[in-house]
Amino acid sequence: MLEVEDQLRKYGEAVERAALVAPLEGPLVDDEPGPVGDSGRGRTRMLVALTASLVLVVGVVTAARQGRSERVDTANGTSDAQIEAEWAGYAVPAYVTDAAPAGMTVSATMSAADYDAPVWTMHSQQYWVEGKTVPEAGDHKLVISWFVDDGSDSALYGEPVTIRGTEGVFRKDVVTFVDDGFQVVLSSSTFSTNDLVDFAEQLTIAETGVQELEDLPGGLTALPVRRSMTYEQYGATVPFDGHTATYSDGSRELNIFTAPLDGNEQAAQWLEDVREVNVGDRTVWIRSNTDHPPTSVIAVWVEGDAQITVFALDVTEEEVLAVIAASRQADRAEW
Amino acid sequence: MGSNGNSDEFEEFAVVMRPRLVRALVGFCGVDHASDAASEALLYALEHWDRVSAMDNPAGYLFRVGQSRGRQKRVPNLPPPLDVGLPDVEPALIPALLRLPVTQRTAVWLVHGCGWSYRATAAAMETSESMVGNHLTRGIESLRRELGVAEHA
Repeated sequence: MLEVEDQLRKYGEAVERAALVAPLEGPLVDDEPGPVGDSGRGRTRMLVALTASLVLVVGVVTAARQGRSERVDTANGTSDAQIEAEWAGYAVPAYVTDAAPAGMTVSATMSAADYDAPVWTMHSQQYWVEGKTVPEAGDHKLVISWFVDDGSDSALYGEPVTIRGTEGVFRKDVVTFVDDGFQVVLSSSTFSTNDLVDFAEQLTIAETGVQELEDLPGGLTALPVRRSMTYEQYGATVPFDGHTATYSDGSRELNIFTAPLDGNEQAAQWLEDVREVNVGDRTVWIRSNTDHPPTSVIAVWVEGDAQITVFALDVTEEEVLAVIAASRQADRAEW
Repeated sequence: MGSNGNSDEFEEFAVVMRPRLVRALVGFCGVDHASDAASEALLYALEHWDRVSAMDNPAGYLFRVGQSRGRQKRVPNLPPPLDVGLPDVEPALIPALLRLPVTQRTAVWLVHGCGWSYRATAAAMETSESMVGNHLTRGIESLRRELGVAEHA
């Protein structure tokens, strides 16, 4: 048998050929014939055409995944409409903006109450999260996340992972296991892997189908279970227990999430290394990440009993601040 | 893109870079999506050509662009070796590769599946070359164990 390394090299060569065959066969775009290997301008146009197709597909899939696909004409506004801040059984208002960046329209909306299941699946950058709780005491923090096990991913979190934060690379211990249809991940930057294994043994299934600790170790205090989306690549976790509006122009993306504040200054806990700016009467915590593409901006503010988070990709900080300045509660008709 | 000169320069770059990116991204998007993810990355390079063309390691940077924009499922679909004309490659190798933790899989795939250097792989993974070595060692050990291959002395 060939060495494992040689097998991998041969396989790499073979799948490269398989992946390249289709796009390089036949005429290029604009009916401009071009032989395989041609390096002319048609190649660039082909790339653009391929990308445009991909963006379209991703948009459709994203909308379908989120369960609803509905265009909202934000330009018409709803100033005369009665705001139903607590519609759909959730005591959190939905938010939209009247100043979406040029070309961006609402591509999808979602409300937590649309889902009967105790958890739902959201897709972010290589990471799905349906639920999360963060018990903490002082500097110690334990993150328990869970999502429906699809039988294929349980090995991914079987070792300590390195996560890039805004202050550099730091190590984070992770323990994962699968139980009763859920994949559960315990992670902490303060507890050891052995501690996490001990904690995992104490986890039981709550009535909601969520794993929780019976006796929290080390004086930890449980915070409310949150539904959240983790943009691991950007070091951001966004709670979205309420409503979500997604704006897109086909390539750039901007999301407005709402979640209950639970009487605490929770918004600040989801963000590190932020600076505070005033946008009208609103105090906003904001952070930009331009270390690697696509650039990201995350901004959070509190309004009444809700926290509103804007997470945007390839959108400038100035555009995000304009979005926030023109954001307002939305009624059911706009959703 | 400011001039025809730049345009030609990009097209030459894209022709060379595209197969390299596709191969690297196959390990994350699968055969069916790697080409699109590479196109996404190259479009980004086209839009930011002044910046990308000045980079020491544009492949690693664009690999991350393709990864982040591809938004594919965490475990890609990869064809069995026999389906791509490789009867002498162990069929169990690919499922074993996909079962590796993502960091090990990335290191193993880029270094051995794609022939990338430790340095280029470290840049693509945003980590150090020594960490790449660690992931690689552990990943290859796991693969050998699963395939029942004896360890090297």
